[in-house]
Amino acid sequence: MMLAALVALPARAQVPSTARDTASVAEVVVTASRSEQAAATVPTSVAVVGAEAIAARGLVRLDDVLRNVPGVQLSDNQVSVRGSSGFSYNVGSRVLFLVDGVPLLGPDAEGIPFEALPLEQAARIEVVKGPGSALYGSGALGGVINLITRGFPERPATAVTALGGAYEPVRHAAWRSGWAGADAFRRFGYVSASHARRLGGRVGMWATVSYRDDAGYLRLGAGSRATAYAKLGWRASGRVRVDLLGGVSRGKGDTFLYWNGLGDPLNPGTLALGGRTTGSSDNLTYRYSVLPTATVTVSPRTVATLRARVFGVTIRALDDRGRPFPLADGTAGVRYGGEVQVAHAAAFGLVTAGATLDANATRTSFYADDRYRGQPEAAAFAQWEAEPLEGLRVTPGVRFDAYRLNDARTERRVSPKLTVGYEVSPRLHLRAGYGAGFRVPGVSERFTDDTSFFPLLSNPALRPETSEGAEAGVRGERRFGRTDVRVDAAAFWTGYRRLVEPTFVSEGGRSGFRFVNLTRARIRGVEASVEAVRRVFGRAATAGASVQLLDAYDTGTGRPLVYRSQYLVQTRAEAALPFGLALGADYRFASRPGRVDSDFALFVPSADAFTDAHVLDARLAWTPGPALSVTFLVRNALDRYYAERPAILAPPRAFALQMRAAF
Amino acid sequence: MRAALVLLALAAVLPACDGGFAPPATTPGAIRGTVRYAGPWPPADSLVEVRFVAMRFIPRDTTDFLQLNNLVFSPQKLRVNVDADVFVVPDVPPGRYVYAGVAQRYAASLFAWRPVGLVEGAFTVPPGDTARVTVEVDFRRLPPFPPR
Repeated sequence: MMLAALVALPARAQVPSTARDTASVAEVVVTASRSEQAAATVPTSVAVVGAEAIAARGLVRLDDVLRNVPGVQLSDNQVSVRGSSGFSYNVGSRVLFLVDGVPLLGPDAEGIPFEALPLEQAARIEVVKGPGSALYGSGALGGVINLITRGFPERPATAVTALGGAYEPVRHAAWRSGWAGADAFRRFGYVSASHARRLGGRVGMWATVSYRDDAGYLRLGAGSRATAYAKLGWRASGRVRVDLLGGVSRGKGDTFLYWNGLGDPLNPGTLALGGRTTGSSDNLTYRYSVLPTATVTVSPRTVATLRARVFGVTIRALDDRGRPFPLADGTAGVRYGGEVQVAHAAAFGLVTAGATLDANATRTSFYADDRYRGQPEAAAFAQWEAEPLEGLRVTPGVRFDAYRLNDARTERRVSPKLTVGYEVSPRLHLRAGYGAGFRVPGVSERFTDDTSFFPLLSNPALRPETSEGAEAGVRGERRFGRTDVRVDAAAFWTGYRRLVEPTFVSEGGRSGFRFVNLTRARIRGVEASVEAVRRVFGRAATAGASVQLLDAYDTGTGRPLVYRSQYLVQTRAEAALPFGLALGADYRFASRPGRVDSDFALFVPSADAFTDAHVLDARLAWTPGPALSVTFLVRNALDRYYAERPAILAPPRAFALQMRAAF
Repeated sequence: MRAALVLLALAAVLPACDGGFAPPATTPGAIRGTVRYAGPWPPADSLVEVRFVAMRFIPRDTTDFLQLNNLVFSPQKLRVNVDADVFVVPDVPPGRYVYAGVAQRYAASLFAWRPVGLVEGAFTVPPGDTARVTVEVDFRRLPPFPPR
């Protein structure tokens, strides 16, 4: 049955059959084991966000989607799963990001390209919690995020989305006095158009284009981005299917890096004595991706999958008149590679094995020698899913990775995993697991060396960060009258070694920030989610809540780990009303981090200023028919001023109107 | 349905809290000063810029000049090759400044700063008021740095 699922058409296999909210309620997941598994029985902590949940909230960026996922927190553009990441100055990600199973961290700063993704064509987004390098290699230190794109519908489908809104003027006169732009509503908008169809019995396609423009709520925080993606599927024969996903994205605008203190947070600050503003940068960025996949049914019991990827980026700074400087003064990088995976349904269980080859070449004017740098990698992995007793599923796995670094060193890692799931009854499942993770620091962390306006020092000797984690959990569901209730709870522990942290150093006559293997850490905690679903006015009314308690401890210093919230609470509710109306709200609370980086606070005013985050997003939707929906959205409805990362104010209250039409 | 509405209501009521960040409540002050120069000015190529700097702490080395959270400096460059100059530093956080004076940036590096004249002793900037200082710069006898 698992094998049959492997070769099913994506459109049928990957779209949840009902429009539900986050999580634990989708029918299947693929990320936890590289093959489809029933979400209710998967022996790993996985959260799933469906396409309807994304569309209903008017979300156009992946990071905004992830903010509502239980156990996930963001520090600006860095994702933390169960406390895996603090804030690392926009470089590196301790959570691996995949698109249709293919790693897609940027070749430049190894970050997740939140804005340059085909979110309109996401069937669902899966978040696997805990170290996952046994299946996916470097980057899966704290978890794995997989954006799974849609398949192709039986009938041609066209959709248009338009969203327009504005940030509310800032309510503090002292802040407005620093920037006149904060006196008025600041607009943002988004439009997208998509078309999907089958072309005959063997070919399917979809294409989507989108454009986003944002005036920004901070001075020098404006930007725009145009993105186009297309996917082509070809069933060459009954045994061979080929999919080609490609996209290009062009972004232009300012990047606000840090504020000018809590007395003037709407303006970028300055790092160096002398008053030159360095707290923002203005760039033109292109991102390109081509992801071909071939699935071959070798025999009724064996399926082979071949995946390749090319992911390129160019970044050019803009002058005062908005004209780009030459690329030689900017950044260019490409990541490319491929993998082969074979799944064989043997009598003793499902065996999945494969190998990958990957490389990247990146050059930036911030490297000391202006050379292209790369870290080619080869890996092999294997996993065995067995059911030795009825209801008991045991899945051991292991992966070997070898990274060749520019200074001729080779880093080798062996990452094991073991998960155990037991079905007590069809509605109650227990799980336990162990996994290892690692992250090879990117070339930007190792080779960036520039003190012209921001003191950054290289560290070619940087070693990989590693992690190992264990969890035990329970997942159950029960019906109370007409209400279905689902509960998921887990206790987890993760140990980290050689965590990379930017640190201010002064040695050998040079001073600046350098990425160093600084510390060890232990993170443990508990997480619980409950979700209730009931039919009201012919539609599903949902209510859910999740809580995460985190104890993140830096064993190197004996103090709390920086930038981790001890408490994270997320609630969500949606209820149908008469006349096609529906009301929904998401609320999240993140407690003030127990500790923040004191080095950064020495240089940037008020960089140690944090407060509890209370964020309420509300929406009222009107759906007069299947072809049209109109939604009024209020984001940060409480208009609370807070920060997700040091020295940047999070968005204030904003209002938006979204219209979606389908033909 | 009721559970959903209850949660919606809770979501609105639970965060009965303040509005988060707010501007610091303290009223800033200002520093107004006079600089008198003596001795020959350094070569022009070593005069990248000259500013008045006041610190809340005694610096250990030039990297401490990056601690903008704990120092203030004149927003305008001071004039060079003159006998005297005046300056104003507005929006100064009130408090005691223990190390202040005129600093010369002698190269492009962020750390290429050295003091050329100091305010004698510490001074205090009162909230909403102006502190007045005088700096004597003698290029023939520069103050030691780091300070003894």
